Amino acid sequence: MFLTRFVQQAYPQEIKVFWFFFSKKNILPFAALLLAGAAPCGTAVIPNSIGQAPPSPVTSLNPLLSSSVANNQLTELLFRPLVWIGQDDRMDAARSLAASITPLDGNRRLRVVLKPWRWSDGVPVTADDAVYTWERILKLGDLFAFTHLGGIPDKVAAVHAVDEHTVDFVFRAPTNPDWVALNGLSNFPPLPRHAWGDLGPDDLWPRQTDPSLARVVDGPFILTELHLDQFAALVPNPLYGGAPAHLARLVVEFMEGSHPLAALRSGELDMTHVPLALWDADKRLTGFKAIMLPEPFGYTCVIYNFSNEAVPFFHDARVRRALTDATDQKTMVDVVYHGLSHENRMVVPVVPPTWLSPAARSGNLPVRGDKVLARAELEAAGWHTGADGIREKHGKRLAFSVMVRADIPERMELLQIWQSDLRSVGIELSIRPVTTMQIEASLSCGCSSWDALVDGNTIAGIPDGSGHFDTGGDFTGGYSDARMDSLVRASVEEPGEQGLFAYEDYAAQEQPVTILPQGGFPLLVANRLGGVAEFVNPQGFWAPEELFVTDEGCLRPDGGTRR
Amino acid sequence: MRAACGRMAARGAEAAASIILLVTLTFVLAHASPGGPAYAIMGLKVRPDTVAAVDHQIGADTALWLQYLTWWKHLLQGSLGTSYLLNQPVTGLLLGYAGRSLLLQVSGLGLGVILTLAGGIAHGKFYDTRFGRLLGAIEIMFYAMPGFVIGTFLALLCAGLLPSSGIADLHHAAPSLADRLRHLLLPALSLGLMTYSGLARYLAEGIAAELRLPYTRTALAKGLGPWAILSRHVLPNALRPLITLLGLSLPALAAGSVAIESVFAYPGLGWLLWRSALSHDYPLLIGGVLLTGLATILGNLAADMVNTILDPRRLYA
Amino acid sequence: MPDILPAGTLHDAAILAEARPPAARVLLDLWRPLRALAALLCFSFLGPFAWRQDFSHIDARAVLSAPSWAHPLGTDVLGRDELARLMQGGATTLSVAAAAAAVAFVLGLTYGLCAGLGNAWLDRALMRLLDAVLALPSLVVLICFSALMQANDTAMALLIGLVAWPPLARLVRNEAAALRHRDFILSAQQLGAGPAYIAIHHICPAMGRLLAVNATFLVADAILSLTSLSFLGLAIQPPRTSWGQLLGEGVELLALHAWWLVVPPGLLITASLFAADSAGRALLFGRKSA
Repeated sequence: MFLTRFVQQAYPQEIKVFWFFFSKKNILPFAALLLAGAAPCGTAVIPNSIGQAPPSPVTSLNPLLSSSVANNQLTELLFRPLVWIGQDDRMDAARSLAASITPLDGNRRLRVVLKPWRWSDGVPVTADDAVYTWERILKLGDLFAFTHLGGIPDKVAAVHAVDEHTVDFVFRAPTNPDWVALNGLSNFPPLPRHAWGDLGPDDLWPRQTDPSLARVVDGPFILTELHLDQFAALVPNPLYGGAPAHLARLVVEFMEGSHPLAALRSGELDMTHVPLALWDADKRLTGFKAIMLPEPFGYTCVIYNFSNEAVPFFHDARVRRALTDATDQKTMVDVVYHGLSHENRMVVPVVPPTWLSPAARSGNLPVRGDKVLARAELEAAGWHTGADGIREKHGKRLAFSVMVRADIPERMELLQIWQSDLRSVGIELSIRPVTTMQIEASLSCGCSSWDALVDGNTIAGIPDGSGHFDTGGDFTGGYSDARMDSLVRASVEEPGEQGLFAYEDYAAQEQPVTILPQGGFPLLVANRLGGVAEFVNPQGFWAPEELFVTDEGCLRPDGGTRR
Repeated sequence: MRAACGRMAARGAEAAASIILLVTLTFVLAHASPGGPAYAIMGLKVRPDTVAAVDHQIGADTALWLQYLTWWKHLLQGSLGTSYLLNQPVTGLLLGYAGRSLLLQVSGLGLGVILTLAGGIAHGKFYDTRFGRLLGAIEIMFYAMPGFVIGTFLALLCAGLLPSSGIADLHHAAPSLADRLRHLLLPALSLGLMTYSGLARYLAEGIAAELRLPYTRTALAKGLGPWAILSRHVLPNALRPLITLLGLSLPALAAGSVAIESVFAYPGLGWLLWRSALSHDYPLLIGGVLLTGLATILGNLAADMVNTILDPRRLYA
Repeated sequence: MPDILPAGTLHDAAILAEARPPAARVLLDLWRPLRALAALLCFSFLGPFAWRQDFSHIDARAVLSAPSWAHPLGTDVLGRDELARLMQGGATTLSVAAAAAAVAFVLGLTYGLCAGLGNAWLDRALMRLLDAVLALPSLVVLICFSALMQANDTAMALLIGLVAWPPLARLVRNEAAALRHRDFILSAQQLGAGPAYIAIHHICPAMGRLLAVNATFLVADAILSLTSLSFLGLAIQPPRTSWGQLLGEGVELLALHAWWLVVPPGLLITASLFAADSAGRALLFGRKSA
């Protein structure tokens, strides 16, 4: 006992907040929960950012200051955003804090009605808390991690509370309400003004790992312990307005460089990622089940450097279409992803197919993965086969190099297949494995040190191209096209889906980047843990209130049907 | 005495020069490498505007020489700055990690001493027999293996029996001492085996040499049992050079624990340095480098002092 | 004491002078470690000609398979043949370690000769600087700098070499300073030989045994540093690999009982270190173990 106390004192950076269980005003709702028979039961230990990335540390409890998936998954459990995106990439009515979102005034105003939820200290969540968040975003300026996403804050003129549960977002010009709701309001959580007070960036930034700012929350979980670089422990919030959690304690472990498979086997971790090649690892170990999560909503793509004069052929849309047509995506899916992925030649992910244009749904696209078409396009563009089998035009060979992250073996395999595909249509590709930093540095330098590189992108919300494929967008190597600019603008300004579909079809024709198939995340889960398939969605939103354990004397909440 | 003080002062000046050189080198290289702290803080897909805003907020956008001088100014005021990534004071973080590393090294040293005594005495007593040669072969085998190979093989052998990752089972809200000890066992044992392999040979040779001396035969003739001979006569003589060697091996212990921490995912100082370097968390990196540098230099100084004090020429002059 | 870094494994001329065995004895005891080193070199560089499997060929059907006739040492998580990977890893490890040792040797020798044969003030200045560099915690330098640098063979060899040269420099300087007052050096100076000529043609041969012993230990330390760094994941670029990296990958998959990914690399690393160490000791003492 003395040793435990000594150990606790010796580690001053470990901050424990045990106030929850000893606060009187929480005993009554907790008891009500117990009496209702929905008693939370059991403890589960899961790695951080599971379903989206390898474990990485939680470095910020502030939902406005970090866009890394590791932090967001935790802050979304504490501070619910106005819009929670569901598995079908539409607003999840049950989990969103907004009860309804109505466009008014010809799409110049968005009226959001909040559900009558309460903060964990009993104070109701009001529209004033949403206004408080808006004020923080304005003060943070460029430090706001989601700036420009969904038009927040650049397209919003003002945010004001109409009554206690209704808040209005007023725009400078008519804006697509779906786009704002899904892309912007999904990163907009009302924050407790009564608990935080008037804080600016110089107060908020240094206090990102201060759990006192995470004491008053409105999400399904409350943070009880945060041990930096080790783990965070959460317990259910009895005052949460949505469906309560089944677990009594959830521990999120986030030590980088740890050995999750060994911890899983010794029972200290309840689920972990496995390498894609081991997606059927449950055949090697007993007591575990393999669950394949769907691919994240996004794409893996080859980005071309439009500012490099050594590879001017990238400016020709016919060459880009040929590069996509030559790709044998079926082989890629079968060999690299063991059949557990999808072919995709659009900048809009095909799973879920919510936002696909009618042309894309029917498969009626200008690129089809047809090598004959690819050769025809190249011939029409003036590239003729030279002596060594590689096409030439005016003495210039159709050859380029592509940089790829060396630590993701699947991408290397994809490129090796692509290399042989391109060779069969007369294009020479050389592969350069590099570090992640080099990829990111090349993308932002705008220089000529690279021809092409492979990168991934995840989309939360509507897959519009703003900020990517319009002029001046990020992560595209400098692609710029006037018609694309106007279509992208239309897709975010006009209501409905027509603008989005027009953009998609034009992007399929333009092929500003070449999409490669991406894989899902195979998980190895201990048999005691259930509800895993519902708990992660492709948009990266975590719903650990779905998780439950079947030992420790806990009852299955579903009667035994869920995995 | 005055000569010794003068030597100590000279060593101290050299140590200060080394620390300054080390900090400067780390500072320069950290800022020269591509990337920056903003990517680790905000995630890889951060926009350039946000990178600029983050750099301004954490103070990483001022001139390099200004950052360098500011760091020294803060150090002289007693502060090592705030971690870019974790937004906590560097001193507190370092103490926590250093404390865990120290715990690992002390337990490793303890296990190593126990193994050395057991193995060394056994080897020395049976030096010329087959059993002794077997023990000698075991010592050589562990001597040749690097620390991380020892740790890996131990983890392989004990997979399923003992945990090989982390410091506690997080399913329990308050992990018991037994649980923490179970997690500490394999890493400490690896460190202990590294210590044992180097020291046991010397102990065994010393004991074997002592046992060959006439006085042990005399003691046997007088009727003393073998254990009494060992403990009362042989060991004290054989242990003296061992203590010197133990002191000299302290810096190596700190070095060896870095690889062990990686094998067993033990959150210690070595792990922290590696993570800080990778995520460009300059204050934590330079603070950690400073701390490790100081510890190494102090360890070397202590070893030298021990060596000087126990120098037989001085003792018996 | 083996640790991650060179720490006191180098031996100065005094010890060398004390333990001067007959040449025949040295050669006899040098034979076994050299034989082992030759075997390892054959395995790494000539092995791929005998075992013709591509070390980077990904085979999705033979993922993590145990040793069999088709794959004598099993396959890794992507289905690549482990035996071929060990051979390629050996080539990388041994060549980078040799390069690093060469860098450290040349740097240390040059620095030590400059200090030992130069003016008094040059000697003092260089030795002050050397003392400061010697007191650096080389482990910290290695880990931090390799995490901050780009990982390729040349950079790794340079980094390890740059960390390992100071102890050799001190030994060379001491020996050169002692030798420069000997008669044969003075007579050479009388005959008009310049310092460079004296250094190359007189001092170095006189230090021959010291250089040979310490060069061998430098190789052993370079292998140790390189395998430790690549185990931590900080070194070689994929798809090429090294023994330390193979061991590191194996550690991740221990939970799946994949012992064939861990035991062979570990044994090969230990064998190469032991062989290099024994060779050095044989040169030093003429016995297999000190």
